[in-house]
Amino acid sequence: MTLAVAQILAHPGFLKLELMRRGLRVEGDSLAALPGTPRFGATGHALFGSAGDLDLELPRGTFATVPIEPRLVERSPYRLVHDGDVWAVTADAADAPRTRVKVVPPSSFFAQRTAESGVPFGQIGTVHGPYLALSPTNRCQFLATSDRCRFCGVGQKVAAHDALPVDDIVEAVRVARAEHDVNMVHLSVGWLGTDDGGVQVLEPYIAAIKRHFDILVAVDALPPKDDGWIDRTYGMGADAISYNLELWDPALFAQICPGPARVIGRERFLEALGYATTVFPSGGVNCHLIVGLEPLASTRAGMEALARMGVVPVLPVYRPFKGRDLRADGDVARFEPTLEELRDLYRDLHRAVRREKLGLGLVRDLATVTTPVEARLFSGPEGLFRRLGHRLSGTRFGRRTSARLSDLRRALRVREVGLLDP
Amino acid sequence: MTPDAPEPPEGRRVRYEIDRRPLTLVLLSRLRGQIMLAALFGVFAAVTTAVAPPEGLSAAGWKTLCIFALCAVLWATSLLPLAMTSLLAMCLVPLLGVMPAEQAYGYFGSKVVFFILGALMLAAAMARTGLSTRVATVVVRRFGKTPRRLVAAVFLLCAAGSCVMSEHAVAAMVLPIIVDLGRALRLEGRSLLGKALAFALAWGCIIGGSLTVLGGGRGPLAIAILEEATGRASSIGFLEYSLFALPMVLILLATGAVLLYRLRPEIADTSVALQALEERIRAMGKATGRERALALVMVVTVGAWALAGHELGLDTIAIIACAALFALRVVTWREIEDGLGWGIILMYGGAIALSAAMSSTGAGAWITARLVPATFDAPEVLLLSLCVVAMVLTELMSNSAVVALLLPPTLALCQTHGIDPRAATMAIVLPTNFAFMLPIATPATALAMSTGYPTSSEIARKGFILDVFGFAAVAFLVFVYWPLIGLL
Repeated sequence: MTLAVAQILAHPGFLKLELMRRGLRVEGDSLAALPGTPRFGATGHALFGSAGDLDLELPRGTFATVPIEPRLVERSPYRLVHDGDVWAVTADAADAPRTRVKVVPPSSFFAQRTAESGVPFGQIGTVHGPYLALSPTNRCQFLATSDRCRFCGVGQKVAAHDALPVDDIVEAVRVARAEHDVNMVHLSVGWLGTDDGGVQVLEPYIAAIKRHFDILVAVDALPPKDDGWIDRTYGMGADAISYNLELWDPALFAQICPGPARVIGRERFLEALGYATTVFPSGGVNCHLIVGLEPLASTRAGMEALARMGVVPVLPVYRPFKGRDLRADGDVARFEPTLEELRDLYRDLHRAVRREKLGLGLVRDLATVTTPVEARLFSGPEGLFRRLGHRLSGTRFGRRTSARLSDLRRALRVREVGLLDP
Repeated sequence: MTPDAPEPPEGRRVRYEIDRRPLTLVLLSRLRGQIMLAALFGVFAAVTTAVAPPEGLSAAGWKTLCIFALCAVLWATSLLPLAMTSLLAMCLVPLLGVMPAEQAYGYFGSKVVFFILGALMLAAAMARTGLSTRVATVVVRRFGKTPRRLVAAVFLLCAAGSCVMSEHAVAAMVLPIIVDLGRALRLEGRSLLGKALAFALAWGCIIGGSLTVLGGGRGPLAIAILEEATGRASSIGFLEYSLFALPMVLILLATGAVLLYRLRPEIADTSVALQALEERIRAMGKATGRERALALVMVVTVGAWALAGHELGLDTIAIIACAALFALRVVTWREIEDGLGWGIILMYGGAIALSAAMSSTGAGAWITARLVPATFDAPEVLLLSLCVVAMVLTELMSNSAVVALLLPPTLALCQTHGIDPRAATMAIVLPTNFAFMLPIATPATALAMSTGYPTSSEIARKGFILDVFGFAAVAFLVFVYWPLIGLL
């Protein structure tokens, strides 16, 4: 079965997948009319994304960050068109309908530098609609070695920086929030060669963000050596944690992520994830499995196993992103799924997280990934209350409330039992 | 951290513990205090507004009784700080129309409150100048030639110290000396000498604190309640108080000495400990001018309390002594302000106002008439039964709170039984200091336990023996001594 272009354009779930994988052509007067000037090939924020990506809001509040750099999208059938200020996505096929979309103007975030250290914001993070990701240090000891994750595009174009002043990160959050309805700050840290998985470096940033804003904070790190650090990650203010295994298949994990596989080990990933589910709220622990780097059956098995453990599986598709041409990853085996296979996968993802009663409020509106919440688009019509709940939780009031409730949970669950030895 | 890892910015390094119980349970346990408070105030509001006064009790008396019951629960459970409960009592009395606000708040001006204020200021000055620590160290150094004499020195020092300043302050002052001694003598956790030193600290403070009104706040509070309840017709002077309590203190000192003697020290030589104390004294340097001036003021003050307390008033002497300290530049106001427990002062003010309301509305007399069985008509039996109640309560709650709780109804009861209110006051106030069994009962016991030598079960076992002897001592007072001196 092949999905018709009209079906794809009418369905925000399919459209997001297609646009993220194949990209969107922006040509002629559309390019000229696009808010802001796309800076193809710019190296400003190569850590997380490139200026060659465009943020769109598709129907049903679905955010998508799609590649538009001409050399990456020349074979995409999808085009961005406009009529005055009204933007739409269409396809090359005859009589292809137009799907109205909102173009999120390029954030001024990327044009500014931090006040204290003068680092361009684009080098410490990225903002795509409601998704804000920051990295107080972009060091990762795997990067310059053969242990580097094969798919990783970090650090190739920018200089490594050490832990930035806390005020810089607070400023970045303030600037991003001024422009976008940011509902969560994702703080990431690479492999620093420490037992704590890097969270000790993040602690003052998390504390400062929590002190200044009613906002959720997610930490993306590698599993620490012992579980006490997981308690501490939650205690210091993180509302969600990601230990991304990336691949479920053990052999492929060792091959594609040799550093984490050798230094941390797959078992420790699973142990840490399991332990974290006893600390963080339901839905607060997630694990990325990249779709397309291993056979789909393996991803599906991992998805089911993680959901049974209480971990929310997040399934990003291996796609052109961060300005990288995937053809550069010559040594990475590809298992590219069809759109129909992806539909079935995301439908089952949604069913799995619902079956295990996992909270989904902490993994939503990731413009760069089809989230488990968006997977609902593939699993049939939703009830009225669920739709209302989803909509309410996306409002400013809903975002503040969920941040405050999350803080309340921590206040109840966590007790300070002294200071650590210096 | 490897050399390549970035240094995290400075921040607090806190250790956390995760409570994994169901969230509802966590919520209930965390909010237990607030839930109990809400329930308590709900019941209080319902009872005061909806329930008619029982027969024989006026509306004002009924409301006073409700306030008293509310405060009793709050004092016993510490759902609110003791001082806050007292302040609340003081504001509820006019709020419920028991008496005008001016009158209720006016009780805060009791001279006892100012005596406590003065005594606390003097104690703060002693702690701030280092005089108390110097005296303690020198005394232990001088008399602690053998292990047994070391224990005896600590015991008697604490007892003597608690006669002139709060026993809590004495315990806090002597504790570092005990810790130093234990360290110098390399005493292990199970050391009998260590246990003896710790018990000497706790028991010395508790027993000595019973001899004078300066040993803690409960004595002045009891006197203030007595004065308010009797319309100032009855009071207890500085020397009188000590005279009424002396035999009991002697009996307890002897009991404590025997119990300490039975803890045979495992070492014979204390020279190392004495050397440590010597170093401590050397580190303090010679006595400063302000220490000498303070010592002089203290000697004169205690003498004045003893000789002219009735004529001049304990409060007046205390305040003049404090003024002298400032005049002589012994302390600064900032030093006194930092070392003063204002909460204690607030607590007494409120408790006095409540007791006055209990007395003036007849609520105290009404409740005691219903609580005490007719078989307790004999004054001695009545006083001893109240003594037992006070002993039990004081193991669980602040001794001042026990005084505030028990004394007003007791005084009302004594009026109807023809008992001298001074005897009733002493029968309540003396056993409220028998906090020998539980570390929660008084800071002195808690500090003794914090040394790590006595276990809680040892404290309870030996404390029980002291409690029994304490009760026997009070019985001796009631049956023999007080009748002998005409108090009963």
